[in-house]
Amino acid sequence: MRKVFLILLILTSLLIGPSVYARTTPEDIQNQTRFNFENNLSKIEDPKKKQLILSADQQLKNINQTVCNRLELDINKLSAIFEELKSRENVTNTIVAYGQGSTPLDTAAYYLNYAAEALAYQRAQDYTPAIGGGNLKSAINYSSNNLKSNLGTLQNKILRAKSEVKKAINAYEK
Amino acid sequence: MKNKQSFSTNKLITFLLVVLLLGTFLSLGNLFLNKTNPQTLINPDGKTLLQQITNQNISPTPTPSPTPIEYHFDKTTDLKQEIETINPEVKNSDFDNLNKITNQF
Repeated sequence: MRKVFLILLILTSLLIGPSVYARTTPEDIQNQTRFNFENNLSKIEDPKKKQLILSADQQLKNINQTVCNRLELDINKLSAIFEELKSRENVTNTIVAYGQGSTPLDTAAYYLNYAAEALAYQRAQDYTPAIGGGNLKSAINYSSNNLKSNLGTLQNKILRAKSEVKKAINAYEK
Repeated sequence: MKNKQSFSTNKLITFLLVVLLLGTFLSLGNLFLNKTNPQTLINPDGKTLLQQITNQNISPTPTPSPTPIEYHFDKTTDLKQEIETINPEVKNSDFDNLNKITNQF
């Protein structure tokens, strides 16, 4: 009887183990979106339309990367200003938790990190149009509006970081 | 006493069998999902379905990052002035090329 238990236990762990680890990751979702896109694209017969969709898809990626590159320069400059301010005030560390820094420099550090993380997240976003519904134009418009809105959110986060660094400058440089 | 023991043993075996059956279903489901994963749909010639349709190689990262510009400031820099030069913005013109394509539909 013990042997039966042991065999059942081993078999169970062998079968359940891989299932537990097979979780859906963001990459899986992205791969699935891409697969659906390719699949739906193959069903479009008009070669001109097909080419237009491919160009639009490529443009969505280009816009995201181009704007992110531009915004990255702003964050870099903001960080350099922040570092200079820190060195002028002889501050080596900034301690901050949940945006509640005890000094203007701490708070500025928090919002700078927040903006930099938002930028990295935005860079990795996928705007593949969902062309399965039939209306190709609205599918591309939907992705385009989504991209515009997300880039706008990122812009606001950088503006918030700028405002916090400015507050810190005003507090220390009188 | 012996009957009680054999009853609980039977219950344990039943429980384990149910778990085993569930595990089998989950594993089969997982196998099925993996089969539909687009990564496994790459053909022997190494081209994805999209590349076959369009017969072109599409790079997943089309725009390379620019060389990062490093800013260096010193004690003589007017930080208040420098920060005013930072204007993060998403321009409407960024979407011009995309709009041109969309208008062709």
